[in-house]
Amino acid sequence: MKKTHIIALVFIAVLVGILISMLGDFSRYETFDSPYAQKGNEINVVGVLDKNEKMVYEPLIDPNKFTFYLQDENGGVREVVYKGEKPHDFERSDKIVVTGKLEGDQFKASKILMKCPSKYTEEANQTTSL
Amino acid sequence: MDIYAEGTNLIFGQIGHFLLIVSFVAGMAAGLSYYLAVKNSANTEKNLSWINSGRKWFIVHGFATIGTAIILTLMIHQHLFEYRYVYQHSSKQLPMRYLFAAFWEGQEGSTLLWMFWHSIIGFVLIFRAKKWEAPVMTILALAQIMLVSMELGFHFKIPSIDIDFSPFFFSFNWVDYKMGSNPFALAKDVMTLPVFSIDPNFVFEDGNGLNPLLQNYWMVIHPPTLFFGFACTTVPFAYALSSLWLRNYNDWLQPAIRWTLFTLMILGTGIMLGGLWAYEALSFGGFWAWDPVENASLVPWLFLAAGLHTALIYKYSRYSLVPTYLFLLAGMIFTLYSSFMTKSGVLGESSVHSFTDMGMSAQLVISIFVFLLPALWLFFKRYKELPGKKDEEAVSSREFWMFIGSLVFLVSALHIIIFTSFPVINKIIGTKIAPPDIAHYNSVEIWVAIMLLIGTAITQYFSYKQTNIQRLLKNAIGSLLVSIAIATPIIYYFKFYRLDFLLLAVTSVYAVIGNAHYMFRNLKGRMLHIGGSVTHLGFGLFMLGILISQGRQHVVSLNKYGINYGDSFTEEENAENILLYKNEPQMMSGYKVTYIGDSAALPNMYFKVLYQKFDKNNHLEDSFVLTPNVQFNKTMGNVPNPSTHKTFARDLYTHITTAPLNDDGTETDTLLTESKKVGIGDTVFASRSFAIFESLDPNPKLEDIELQKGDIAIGAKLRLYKVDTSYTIEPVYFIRDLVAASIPVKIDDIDVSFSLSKIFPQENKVEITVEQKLRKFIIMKAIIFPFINLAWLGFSLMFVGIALSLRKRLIEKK
Repeated sequence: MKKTHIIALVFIAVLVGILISMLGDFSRYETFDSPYAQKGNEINVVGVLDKNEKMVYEPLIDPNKFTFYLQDENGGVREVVYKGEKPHDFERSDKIVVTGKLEGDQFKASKILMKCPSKYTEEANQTTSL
Repeated sequence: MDIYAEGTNLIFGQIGHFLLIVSFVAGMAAGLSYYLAVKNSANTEKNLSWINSGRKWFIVHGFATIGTAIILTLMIHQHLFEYRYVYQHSSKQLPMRYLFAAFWEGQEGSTLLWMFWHSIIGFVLIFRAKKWEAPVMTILALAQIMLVSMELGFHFKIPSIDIDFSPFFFSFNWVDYKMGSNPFALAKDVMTLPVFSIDPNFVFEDGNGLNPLLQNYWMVIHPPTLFFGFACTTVPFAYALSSLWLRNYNDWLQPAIRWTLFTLMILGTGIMLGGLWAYEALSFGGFWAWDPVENASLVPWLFLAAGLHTALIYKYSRYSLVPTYLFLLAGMIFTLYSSFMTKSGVLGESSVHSFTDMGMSAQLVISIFVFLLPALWLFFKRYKELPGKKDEEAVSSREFWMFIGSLVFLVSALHIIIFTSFPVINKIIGTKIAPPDIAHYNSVEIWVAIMLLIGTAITQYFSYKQTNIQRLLKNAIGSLLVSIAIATPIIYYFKFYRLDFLLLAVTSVYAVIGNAHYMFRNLKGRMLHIGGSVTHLGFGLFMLGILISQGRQHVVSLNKYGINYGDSFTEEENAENILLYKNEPQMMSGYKVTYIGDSAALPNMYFKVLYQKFDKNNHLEDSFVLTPNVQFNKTMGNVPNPSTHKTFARDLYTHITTAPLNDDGTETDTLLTESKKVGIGDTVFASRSFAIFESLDPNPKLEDIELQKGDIAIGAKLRLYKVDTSYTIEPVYFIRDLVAASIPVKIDDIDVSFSLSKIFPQENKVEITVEQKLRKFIIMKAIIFPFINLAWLGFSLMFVGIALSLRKRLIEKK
């Protein structure tokens, strides 16, 4: 076998190694009530803003706290607490993806990604993350 | 509506769509002619006549494509809102300088842009490709046909077969299929709005407008550069495939190297402009957020960079032809894949800036396979007869280490594309894996950068074929020692006490020093030959700038002083936003920061923030005003834009996160009234103050009113606490002739007033009403990026270096 082949194999092994070592750490798309989420793993939840519930951002009291209720794709609703500012145009988003962990009844989000309804519009979306 | 007399503007769409069809048909004729020219290459006469025909058709095709773009531009310029594309992407208020931004905001426009560049490239190839013209233009024409088909908007019936296995059931239907999306379609034909069924001649008064996030000069320059780069990837692909097709394995390399260098330069600039934009606007997660869309555009660049290095290896030492084919072919395949990911909507849940699906996924997938399958087929068919040395290269040869470098590029490209493809993988096999975060990419790719940097520093000291090891070691170790000496204070100053950060700091300095040394010592600074060294030196500076600016970026607006913002706040939690009342300075990371006012230039509202720095003796050392703004937009909502103070050593960002304004720019109601029922000893909170209810006073002092017989006056003694003082105030409740009134106490300096609004004698409680005028305030975030200028300087050098290499390859004779 040629040296270059051996080296190429080593590189492929490295790549596979990276993949396998990462697989366990990956965050997954889940719903609030899934067993995986209930264990307190970091998850991504896709949902919509629950407009029946209160959305609270009081910058004069704490500009770094924003809470709202998110309804996931199975209809489960949780209060989401985000330690940061309320993203601009949050109300307008039609779909929200939050990344974070369940802690008790609350979902502590570290990242909020919004998809805006303006169809055909590139880059109309914003991410906010800590 | 009346200015659009009936039908007069229909001619635009008709001409536009007609030109698209001409472009499609002429493109097919050009491709077929060139194909037949290749097939008849043995017969000079026939070959020439087919080439001639191909040229004519391609010129017709190219001008039709350019004409299409001109028509669309005119339609946007003339505000023809009866057209869906114009309605969706522009408006009357849109300044003319954003005309082109509106042009390529949508999928159709950006595809048209891609076609435009392909046409220009085709014209150049007709003049320059000489004997490669026929095969290369066949492939380019095929690419154009695929792209035009995405613009046609034709409806036709396609057969659809449904098969069920249990119980076995088989049905055959014709279903309606729409091929492509036509940018010249009328709104009433393609949009289902109730208004069109009421009045079929309805025309929008105004357009939907361009997303305000995109209303800036970056949107004017970034997409055309990026799509020029994407279009360029077709050329190295076409040369590689033509070479396999014609079984001519040597002559293609020189033009392919030139085009690869050119593509690296243009595509690299396009990607970089995107990074600069994201950095400046701060709205997409910063300079490089490993967003799928960013990744997808980087991967073709990495493949082409790998292909350039293996092509040079083959040119000088006859090794590595096989990987050269694979890498250059992969460049375009992954450009198409990136277009599929961006436009098919598959990234919906993972990307900040992808398009939504327009029902063209099938076409996008097909376009990948139209190029992938012939490429794979020809590659495997010709694999056995590919020339090149079969023995092994020596470990002490330059080609060996350049090859290792190419493999590092390959690993990086595969890592990025596999991890970016999770949304696609999820779709195919039904998994639920979320794409990895920024930290994951950084933690892997930092090692890629370290290996590449070491490679750029050391490999040049090797010679092709055999190297004098002693001289190599002397040079390589010498410059390494110098680099460590230079890197040490950097590491110490920025506290890079982490293995990967530390190594990245050393190796990026090593790339700078090693390449500078080689450039002046061995190449004597000769402009013709220093291209590679300049590029690699630039890469070193770039990575050093990235390491310092991204690794040591810090939020300075940390909310840890002054007012306690409520019980939920704890030290460890992120609190990156700071509240500033107008004219009330706060200390922030060595700066005294004051919100001093605002000015409106609608649709923008500018907030003036004064930064002052004082030395030990309290003398003003530095002072500047930043004016971050918020842009109002009815359809899209408010958009903040940061303002930056730049010095060589750092950029300081200031960014409004909240300002108490309504969507139309008017100030919100600032009078806040709250009532609270309190007993003795209870506290009432107000803005920057609180008061404790101490006692009821049956004989309050009244200043302006003389008590008459029958009057009742009761006071509430409140101990008021402000920032540095406390004293007693006494609002009074007063009844005369059965009419009750409150006499409030106003505290002017904090704009708060307290009044005694009710008394509950049996509970021994009172109701205190606090009326406060909210002071103007802003909530902002400020971030420092140290030495980001090194990264920009590094990138500029990379650009210059590639340009120098290209010049060398254009001058040299085969």
